[in-house]
Amino acid sequence: MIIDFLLNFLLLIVGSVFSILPSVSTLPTIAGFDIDTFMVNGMGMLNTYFTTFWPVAIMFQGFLALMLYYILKMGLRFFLGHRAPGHV
Amino acid sequence: MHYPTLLSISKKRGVTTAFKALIFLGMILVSPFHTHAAVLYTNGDQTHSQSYTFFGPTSTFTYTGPTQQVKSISVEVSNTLFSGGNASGVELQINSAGGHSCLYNDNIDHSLGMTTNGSSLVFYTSTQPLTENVSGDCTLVNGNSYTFAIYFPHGAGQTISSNQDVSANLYFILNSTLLDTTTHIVDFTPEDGASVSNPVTFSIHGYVNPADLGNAVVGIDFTLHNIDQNVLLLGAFSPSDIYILRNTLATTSGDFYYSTTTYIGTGNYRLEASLQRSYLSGWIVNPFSPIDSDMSHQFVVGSSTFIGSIQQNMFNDIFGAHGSASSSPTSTAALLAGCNPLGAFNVVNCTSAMFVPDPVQIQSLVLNFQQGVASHAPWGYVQRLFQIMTSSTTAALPTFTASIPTGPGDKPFVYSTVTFDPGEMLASGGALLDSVRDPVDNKSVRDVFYPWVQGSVALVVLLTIAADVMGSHRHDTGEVKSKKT
Repeated sequence: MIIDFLLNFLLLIVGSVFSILPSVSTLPTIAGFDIDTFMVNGMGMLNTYFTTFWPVAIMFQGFLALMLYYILKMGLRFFLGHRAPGHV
Repeated sequence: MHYPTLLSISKKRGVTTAFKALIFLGMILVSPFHTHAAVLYTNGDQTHSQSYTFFGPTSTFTYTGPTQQVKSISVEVSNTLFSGGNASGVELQINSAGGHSCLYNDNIDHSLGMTTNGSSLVFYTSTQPLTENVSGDCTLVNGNSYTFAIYFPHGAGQTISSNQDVSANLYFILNSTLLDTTTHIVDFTPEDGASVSNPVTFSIHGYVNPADLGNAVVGIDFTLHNIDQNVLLLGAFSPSDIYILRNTLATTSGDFYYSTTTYIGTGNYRLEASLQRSYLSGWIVNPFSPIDSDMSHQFVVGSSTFIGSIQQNMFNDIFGAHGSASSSPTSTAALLAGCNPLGAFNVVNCTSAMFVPDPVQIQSLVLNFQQGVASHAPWGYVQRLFQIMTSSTTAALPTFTASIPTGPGDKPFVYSTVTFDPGEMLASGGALLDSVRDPVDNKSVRDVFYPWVQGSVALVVLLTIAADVMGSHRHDTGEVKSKKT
């Protein structure tokens, strides 16, 4: 209860600060090129390919997991600076 | 925003207590059913009476009382029903209407003015009720409609004519073994977690035990809180609480009902229903009263807001400490019972409840983070990218068509069209691969190798992350050391 309350409180403050930024539901269109539609179609075709070549799908999932790790690391560095774990 | 109905009620805070009591009594008297809903206690059973007037042999009535199994039904009819007639019996029926479950129809003629079968049926006079025991499970549900009929005599098929105005009092002897006879809030709407649209109906059903109506009286509060950010910001200048019922005093025991329908703005709301013992004519509420029923429902009108959701979660946390959280009552709130020094104190349960969020809380927290923080620029783009990349939706692959000149000779050429569909090729190839089976275990190539490939990829990912965390791939060239020295 205490942890949840503190996290909610923290989320309330952070959310209030970032609520002034625009909410994102799709990727932007740049110079007439709709990145969101391109990505959705591209991933859809890739998923069709994965239905037969399933080892590639597993490798792709591994790649995504690795990217998630690097994004989290970037986020930690953004907020913690040199105090972030693993920072050299 | 102005909501005339509720605000006009909230402005009645200065009205005298006696006037509010009269209003509350009036609300009960003009409830949807035709009459009062008094509750009496006889030999441990609860008698719920309803009286109404109907025309003709049958009439549909709406039952307004505690939802409970019926042990017996009594009917008290007026003299005019039988005057001038030569009827020798009356048949009592409680049938289902609108698909409701209670079905009671004994198909027996019950003689007038006579006692038949001793305990099973007693009809005394027109002012004393005809009583019939109910066999089986006949459960009357609050708010449901039922058909009540009087026929006489059954054998001749003679019924009350449609022009006869018959007054009847119905008594339902309810099975009190499962009945909560303490003063409490039975239910109220909108329900917890509901998403509703305008106009919104607020209703409350409570029960007041006669023993609690002594020197003190029971106060009822029904309060609506708007917990949106705009209301919170302006809260210092404009109170956001709307009192639907404000310290209204119960003057009669038994069930009480209140309902009102009004328009309110879209957003997040918390509806609080409380029942407390008051004294000094209701101006002071006794905080140590044993009647302390305080419940809360949280609902959304139109669409929810991020900060409103956070507010609801935090309210649940605090309220959960008192064992009456509106969400997850069987997890954190139940564990918190172990923190009560006067009850079954359990240090493990207490500590768990204090520090370990339950799954509902974590789920809500993650959802709020996604909606309130991660969906905003710039990381909203990253979230959207991951959303697309982790999607399992498939799309048709593009087909290629070519026109190829065929055949010998000069112009004009003869063209043939060739179409290549990679989707068809992949589907056929996949089916072909899956058709190759191990003769011993009947497993396909995928069945055999999937766990191995998955394990290998997971190992590579974990080793890469471990190497990055430990910095083992960064070679010490001595450059840093030499700089320090």
